[in-house]
Amino acid sequence: MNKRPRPHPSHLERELTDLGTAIRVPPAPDLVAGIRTRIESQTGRRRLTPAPRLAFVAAALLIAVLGGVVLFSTSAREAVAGWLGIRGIDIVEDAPTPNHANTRLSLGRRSSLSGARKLASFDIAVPAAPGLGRPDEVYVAETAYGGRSVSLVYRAGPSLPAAAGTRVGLLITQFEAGVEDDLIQKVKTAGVEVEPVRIGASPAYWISGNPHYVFLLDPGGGVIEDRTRLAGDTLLWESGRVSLRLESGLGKGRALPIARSMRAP
Amino acid sequence: MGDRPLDDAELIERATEGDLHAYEGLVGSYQGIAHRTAFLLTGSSADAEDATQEAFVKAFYALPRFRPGAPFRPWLLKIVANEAISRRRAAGCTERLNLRLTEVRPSGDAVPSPEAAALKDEDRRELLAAVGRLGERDRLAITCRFWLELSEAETAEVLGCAPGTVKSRLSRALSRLRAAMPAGLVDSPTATGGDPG
Repeated sequence: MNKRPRPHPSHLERELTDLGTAIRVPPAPDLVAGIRTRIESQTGRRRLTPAPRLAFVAAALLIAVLGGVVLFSTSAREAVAGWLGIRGIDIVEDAPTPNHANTRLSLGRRSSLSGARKLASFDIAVPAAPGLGRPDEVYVAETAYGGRSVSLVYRAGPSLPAAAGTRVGLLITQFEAGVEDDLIQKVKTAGVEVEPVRIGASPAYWISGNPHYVFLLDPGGGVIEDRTRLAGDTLLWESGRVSLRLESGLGKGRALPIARSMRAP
Repeated sequence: MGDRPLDDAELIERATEGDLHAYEGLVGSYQGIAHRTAFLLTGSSADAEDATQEAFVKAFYALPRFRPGAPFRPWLLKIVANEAISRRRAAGCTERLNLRLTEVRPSGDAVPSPEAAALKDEDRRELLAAVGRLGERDRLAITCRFWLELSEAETAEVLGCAPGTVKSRLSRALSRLRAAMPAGLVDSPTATGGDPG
């Protein structure tokens, strides 16, 4: 006799609720003071409210306009990071030491360009710069907030130096950042410089120097660590609802034209 | 309404402006459920404490992005859940969650006999193990809905998906649990849950 379990959701649901009350949870520690201390020790390095941020925006913009290539002081850098308004991009200093040893890239599931186009909820842009051709590999990953990111990989070769100890010459990652207030957060350590540049009409960052972590910050503000990218020079910008990140060992002079040649179908 | 000096919306508004005292009020109100969430997702006291603290610090800086008028609890718990899950991932935890049950109480009004209590305990252990075998997102949905007793809308916010998706995810997770459990537990309401209430 084939005895298939009949659905009794209400019973199972009751059992689950009941189970919840029976799980041993240690008493919650009082964290109020500790949290306050942590925030106090960080305040001053980060902009807290939109209003002061706006003031910094003006100052930072002025510096950017007047100065061209400017090496910002820490606070100005923070302000620029807070401001530049690339939706979803934030740069924060004073984080744990990055893991330099991560040379294995886990970019998600291997796919093809056409496969990725079916999976992604946005139009995937591909660089049209001469000499690059189509990406050698395409990957699709789930982001922690439920969207998908697409990574285009160009293998290192005679004209594409390998980046950051990998065999990858160029990595372009794009993901939808327009649904809400998604952020990429890059945590820098000493020796990282951030230079504002432009890709078409969009503000962009050229981030160079020591390796740095990449974080995705979901719409709720929760940080999801993302250690899987190249940790070399990085260009960050947005195009419409999509944020793009180009990582390579190419240097700014070659990375910028590639970014500017990105075209969605 | 209005039985507290400042409600969440006021505390949030002030905290967004940098008022740490106001933020302490929010931490005080929500640290219990935040810690419970973190513990249920990590199974470790130390990780739960770290994740809770880190989440509150991050939430403070994320306040300018909080939508005024939205409920604070699911917004915060989403940050807590992300923090707890990424902590577990970063530590390379692939083994099952180490959650334990409280001891069976041999005497109690609702427990008819020690045997029945022991049976109940065994069933619970099975169910807990089955939840532990679920995928991360399913487990998060179960945790929110049944162990934290959040509403469907709150669960959706924590999961970052539409309420309809929560429904279908939960129904899939429940089917998996049902399939993984001895039929007697999930199939026969009278087999284990005979207390008249």
